[in-house]
Parts: sequence; structure tokens; C-alpha cells
Amino acid sequence: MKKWLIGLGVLFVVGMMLVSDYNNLVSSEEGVRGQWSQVETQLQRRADLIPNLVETVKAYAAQEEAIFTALAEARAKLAGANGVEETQEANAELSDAIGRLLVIVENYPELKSNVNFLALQDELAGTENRIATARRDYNLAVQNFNTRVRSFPTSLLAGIFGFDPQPYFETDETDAPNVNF
Amino acid sequence: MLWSTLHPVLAIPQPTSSFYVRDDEGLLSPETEDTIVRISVELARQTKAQVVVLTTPDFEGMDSSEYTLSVLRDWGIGDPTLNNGVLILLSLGEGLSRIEVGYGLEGALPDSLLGRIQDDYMLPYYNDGDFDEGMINGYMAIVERIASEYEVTLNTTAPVVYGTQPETLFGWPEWVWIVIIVGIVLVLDLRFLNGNLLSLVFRIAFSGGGRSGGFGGFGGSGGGGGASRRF
Repeated sequence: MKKWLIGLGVLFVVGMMLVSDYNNLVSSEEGVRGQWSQVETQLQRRADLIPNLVETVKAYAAQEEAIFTALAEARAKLAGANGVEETQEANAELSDAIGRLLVIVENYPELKSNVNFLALQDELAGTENRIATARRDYNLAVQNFNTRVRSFPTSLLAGIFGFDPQPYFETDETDAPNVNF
Repeated sequence: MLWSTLHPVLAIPQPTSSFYVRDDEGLLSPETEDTIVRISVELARQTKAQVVVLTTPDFEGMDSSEYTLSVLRDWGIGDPTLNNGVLILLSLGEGLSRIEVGYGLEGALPDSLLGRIQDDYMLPYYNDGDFDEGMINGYMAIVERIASEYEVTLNTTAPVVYGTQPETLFGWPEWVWIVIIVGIVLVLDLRFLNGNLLSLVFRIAFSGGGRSGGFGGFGGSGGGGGASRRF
């Protein structure tokens, strides 16, 4: 009689631990999703700056058509990107195009001192920082989630309920546009 | 590369007892520091927004925006729910000026405005080596913006009140209360629960694995908004 009770008690405790483990996995995965939407928001914010930027630059350097096309294409690609990997790739392309635009701008001193352009440059730099921050926060959330998913015994639970490790958002930092001061 | 971005060096300076000014490069006059503390205290009292000034010779190997964001989050500048903190950084050693804002003030202080405030109010003085004047000028411009955002009028002649902690029971700092409560729980646990609660806490604390950092401390947080200038 007593042994039976102890057995039930142990089962209950194990059950509670499993439930709490499962709930932790869920909230940790939600954390990853939340941080990813932050990344997307900031990438969108940068993409939204492009038309304005192009207009301002065009007023001084209309002949630099190639770069305007590249920017428009990269922006469209980012808008159509799905998932971490595609987004990562499209974002690298847009970063590259913005970087080239800023190099071109160096040849137009009047443009560089234009009040509108200065403001846009600040917004662009701020957005780069926000993207970097959102990316760091996202990667931290992923690291936290993946560690859980892979650690024993939670890994068993993760396997049963289909929690897969999430991809990191990596960037080649050398091609981030040099708008940081 | 990835790992270095996951684990930023956290060798950043800690807040001073006055919280609102930390002048590691010794560029500010005592009057300026007093003014900043006085006005920031008054601003925080009315709006919960916190404006902090920091001068530092270097960024501990981080880039400027990573550094200022780390300080903003680590010090918890601003209210934890309003995230309305501002950090004004000046580094003569790095030749850099930066203003970092928390999420909650990004609307009142957009990046382009922060750039212009530095161009108009601060850099002209910094370039002449008058850091004291440049800082107080820029600081006042920021504070005025925040005050008008919250539609308050600052009583800037109020006396200096050091410390940022709001009045607590018996005037004891928060940590005293935490120690007392933890102590009571611990005694009850050992007396009636054979320390089971304690071992549970240990189990939870050490089962988490790579649960690192977390975002922001007990105060406001930000997402990297702000603007920088070289001088």
C-alpha cells in the first residue's frame, strides 16, 4: 500500500517536471519568434529608407543609374524573402548595394552636405545599429533555445514534440555598409 | 565571428552613486555635473525618463554603438516599461560623440535629430576643446526635447538629491529588503521543509545550461537607436 503511494508520488513529480520542461521549450521558442520579428521589423525599416535615399541622391547624381537599379532589385528581393536563410542572403545584397551607393556619394560634395541627405544618413546608420542589435538578440534567443533542445533529457521531449534547432542569423560583417561612425 | 557577437565583453563601467554622470575622462566641471544630476533627477521625477552622461577613454574593444547599448541596457537607463532612457557619450580618447536612446524615446528623438543636435550644439565646442560647454549644451537640448514630449515644465532650480532609488520603506535600500526576505524564506525552509526549497532553487538555477545574459537589467532597454559623430 505504501509503496504504491510512493510510486504514484514519483510519477506525479516526473510528470510535473516534464510539463514544466515542455512549457519552457514553448516559451523559449516563442522568444526566438519574437526576436526574429524584431529582425524583420528593422530590416523593413531600412528597406523603407531606400526610396527616399534614392530620390535625394538622384537630385545630385542622376547619371548613376546602375546603383539605383541594384538598390531597387535588392529591396524587392528582400521583400520577397522567406525564412532566415533567404532573408540573410537578400539582406547581404542590400547591404552591399547601400555600401556602393555611399562610396559613390563621396564624389558629390554638395550632396554630402545636403541637410536631407545628412538626416537620411543618420537614419540609415541608426537602422544599421538596430539591425545589428536585433540580430544579436535573435542569436542569443536561438542559442538559448538550441541549448535546451539539445540538452538531455529535454532533447527527448523536443524530439517527441518536434522542436528543431533554429538557424542563427549570420552576416559577413565586412560587407555591412560603412555608415557607422 | 558569430561567437564574438553572442558574447560581448561586459567589462563596461558601473554607474556612480549619483547615477546620472560618470566622467572617467575628467572633462566636465563640478558645476556641470551638479547641473546634470539636478536636472536629470527632476526630469526622472516628472517623466521617469533618465538622461545619463558618460565620458570614457575607450570602448573596451567594442564598437561605439555596441558599447553605448551595453551601458544603456546594463545600467537599465530609463523606466523598465517605458524604456525612456538616453545615454550621452563623449570619448576624447576615441574622438567620438554618441547619443543612444531607448525604444521609448525613438519617436521624440529620432536618429536624424540626434545627429543634428550633435552638429549644432556639441561638436562646435568639442572641436574647440571646450567639452564642458559642448556637453551641457547638448544635454540641455535633449532634456528640453524630452520635457516637451511629455509636456512637463522642469523646475531646474530644485536642490540636488543624490541617488536614483525612489523612497523605500524606512529609507532602506532595496537590497536590504531582499536579504531579509530571502533570509526568512531560508529559515522557514530549513525549519519546516528540510531545505527542499533550497535544493529545488539550486536545481532550477543549474539546469538551465546556456541561459545567458537576458536583455536589459531592471531598468529600460533600447534597440540600438541613436547617432554618432567623430570630432
